[in-house]
Amino acid sequence: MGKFFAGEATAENIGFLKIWENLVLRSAPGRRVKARARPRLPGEEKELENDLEEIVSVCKLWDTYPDLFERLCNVLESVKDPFYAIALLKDEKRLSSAELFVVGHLAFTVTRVLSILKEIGIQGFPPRAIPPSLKDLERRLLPGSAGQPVFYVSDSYSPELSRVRAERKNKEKMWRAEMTKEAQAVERLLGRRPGLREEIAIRKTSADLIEKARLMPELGEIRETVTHVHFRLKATAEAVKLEREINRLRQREIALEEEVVSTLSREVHAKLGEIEGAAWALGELDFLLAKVELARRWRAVKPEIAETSGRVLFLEDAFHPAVKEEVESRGGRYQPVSVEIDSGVSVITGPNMGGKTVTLATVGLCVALAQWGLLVPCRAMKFSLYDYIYFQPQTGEKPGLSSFAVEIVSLKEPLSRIHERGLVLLDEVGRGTNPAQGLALYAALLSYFMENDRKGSTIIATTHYHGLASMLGVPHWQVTGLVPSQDDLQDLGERWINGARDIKWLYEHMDYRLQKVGPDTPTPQDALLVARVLGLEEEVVRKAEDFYLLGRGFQEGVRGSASSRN
Amino acid sequence: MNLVDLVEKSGARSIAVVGTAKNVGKTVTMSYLAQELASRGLVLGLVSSGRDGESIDSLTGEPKPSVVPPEGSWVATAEGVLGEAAAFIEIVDVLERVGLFGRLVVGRVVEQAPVELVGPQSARELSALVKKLLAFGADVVLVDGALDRRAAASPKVTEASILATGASSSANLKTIAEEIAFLTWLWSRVPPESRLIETLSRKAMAMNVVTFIDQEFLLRPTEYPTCLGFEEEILEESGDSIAVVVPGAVSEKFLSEARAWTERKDFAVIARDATCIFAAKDPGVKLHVIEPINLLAITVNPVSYRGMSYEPKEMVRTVSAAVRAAVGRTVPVFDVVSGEKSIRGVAGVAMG
Repeated sequence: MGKFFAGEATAENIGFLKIWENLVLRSAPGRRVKARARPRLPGEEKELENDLEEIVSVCKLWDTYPDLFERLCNVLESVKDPFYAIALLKDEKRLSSAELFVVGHLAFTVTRVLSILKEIGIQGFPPRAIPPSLKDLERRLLPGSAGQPVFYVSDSYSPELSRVRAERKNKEKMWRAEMTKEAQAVERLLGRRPGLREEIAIRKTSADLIEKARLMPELGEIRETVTHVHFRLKATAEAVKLEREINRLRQREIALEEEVVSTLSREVHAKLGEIEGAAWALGELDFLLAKVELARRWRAVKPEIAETSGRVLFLEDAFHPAVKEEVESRGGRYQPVSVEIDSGVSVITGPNMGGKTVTLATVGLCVALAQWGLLVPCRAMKFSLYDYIYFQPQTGEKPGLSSFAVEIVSLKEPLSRIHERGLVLLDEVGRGTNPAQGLALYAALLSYFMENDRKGSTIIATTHYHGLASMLGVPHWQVTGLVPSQDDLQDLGERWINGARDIKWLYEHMDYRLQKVGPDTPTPQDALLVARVLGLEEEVVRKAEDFYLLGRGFQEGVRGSASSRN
Repeated sequence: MNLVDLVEKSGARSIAVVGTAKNVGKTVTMSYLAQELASRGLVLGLVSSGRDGESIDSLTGEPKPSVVPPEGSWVATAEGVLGEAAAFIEIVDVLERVGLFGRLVVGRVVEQAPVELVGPQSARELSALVKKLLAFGADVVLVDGALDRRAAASPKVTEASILATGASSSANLKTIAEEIAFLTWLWSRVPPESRLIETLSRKAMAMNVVTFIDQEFLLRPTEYPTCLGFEEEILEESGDSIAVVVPGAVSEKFLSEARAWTERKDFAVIARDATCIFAAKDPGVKLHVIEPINLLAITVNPVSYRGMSYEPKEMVRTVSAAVRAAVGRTVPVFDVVSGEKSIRGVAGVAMG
């Protein structure tokens, strides 16, 4: 996936890799075009605008002509991989019958594709996805193919071949007549007719018959077994002569057939440019249709690309397809993500289970999809192009490395690309270590970006440290979190009495939307509420609330103990 | 009734011809069926599972008979072995998947000529190919198979099967008859008598792990997708179950261990179909399949490549009797390549 995704598993972690892999192409050329695809980078805004506009216009055509598009998809599905034949042609090698068929089939497919494109309105498609007509080649390679493409070294390619074939067939007929005459003669004398492979087996008990057979010039003894003696019909002098002629004619025929194949190969070679162009165009068309299908499935939209000024990252009601599917499969209600973040550093806080990580992944995914030329699953999006995306979610340990060590090693990557414009998505950096030092490290990391980034990178950092944003003086967003009404709390109380302390209530009452935090916005007590909902011992939760009310004193106690340890 | 009548009457649109060894007359049976069915106005399709050895017999040094598909029939074979035959075939499709001998080429025979058949090994691909030939217009598709390429006979691939054996299969007639009788027994395995157990078995098979059916008719899946290499671990879990459903191959070891592990006399091993069961003798345990094979006939070739040959009548009679003793019913046995008969004489030397 190249340098666009910084860090070991960013493409996988934001969910892009799976979507890209599931983008299934119908044809071998389509798969090749997809394999060569790369993201659009800063400076290619116009090109990306074009790519995306193509998808939008083909999407509209698809809505208008669904049947024609279905036919187009079916035709693309039948494309035979032409690239082996193309490689042979480039090496000036002769094509086999199978390759000539493949090239003929390509020409046949192009004709069908062009006729469907014309019906839809060919000007609605980008020129690179419109194959050049190969009608001449189709006529030459598949003569008389009505509906069903067929290749055969037929008589029509060479009058000489036609003559030789007819003569050989005639001689074969004469040979069969000659042998039948002889077999009939044998039958008259022996009372037995030669069977399979012109053979006769006579049981040893019929000694006189064997003697008779041995004396017959028409028969030759070929083997003797425990019970039988086997004879084979010998060809007559006339038959031998015919056999020789048939062989000679067959040799001539093979030479003529090879000549036809060579001639056809040369003719095909003369059209190599068009053939290759057609193959790639079918691939481009296939790839375009796959992107359009995905956009239709998601009801995706074209993002607005801001060139230089106003480097804002704006997403309205964006959804992460994999997460949405997971939520809906368990009967939940998926809440889309909306953000409006300026370049520079922003901090997001929020409760556990508040979807901070999903928000980061969704932002990363939408940007990645857009830059790879796909429409985006949201209501609206505005952004400007990035050189790279980095995302390292909090995950487990690797053999020999703690999660903290994994995180530190991974962070070297975006730091080394400080001179490029990055979308850096940081997920609770330092969570796996001493809280005070973790916070210090996180603050240092973010201020390094603030001081050294000249390209307008976007750095979004999630954290549980509420003071981080004000410490750095950067915008602070918080997940709205649990805002239960009185009724909800009463419902919760009833559920407790019934012993139902499940995660479902959390899913139902969590508000995943982001809100901007001002100086007076209180810190929500979501952690304690989550603990309570999940059924932690009531006494522990109450004690926690008491400690929390002690507030600053308690926090300082933690800090004090942390520093005294060091 | 001769072999061709039998095949035609069966109504099967795809038939596997499976040889038990080399030089048992399988190709002769294929060619014979192809010619005779074509002469009755049927359009043939010919494919092979895998590759049938070399074109020159390594044992005898003689050229082996190739199948000669009748004019107008459909064939599928690898481009690498097509050779001169390409000139006699109208190519109508080239399949993308590349095997050892190149891509598979599908075509219609313009002029009768010998063709070497090479096809896919797996039942899934073979089944797709058979369907393709039927779609192109074949009335009956013959699939060349062998015991080491037995996917041809899987009910997933073909609707009926013919077993071909002969003097080359073993050193003496008694052994030949016993071997083919056992194979016929194995290929005559049927679904469980109880409809409930059959339904449960189908369900279990779809779960793609070895699954026990316990006394209360509940499915108890294990964690093993195959029994190969886990025979004992699986059977240790058998408890008081009445059957085990095994997806994929059932090893000989599994069958013999099953007898040792279970106390229940009626404990059954249930396989997908008989081509999945690897056994050389009666395992002494109840054996069922979900998809039974429709075994139409057995052909015998009384002549071996060693020059050894049996009296055709005696061979047919011996094989027929052994088969009847093993399966309790008559399976038609036909003699092929007997020099005493013309090719038409292949038909019906004996039926029991």
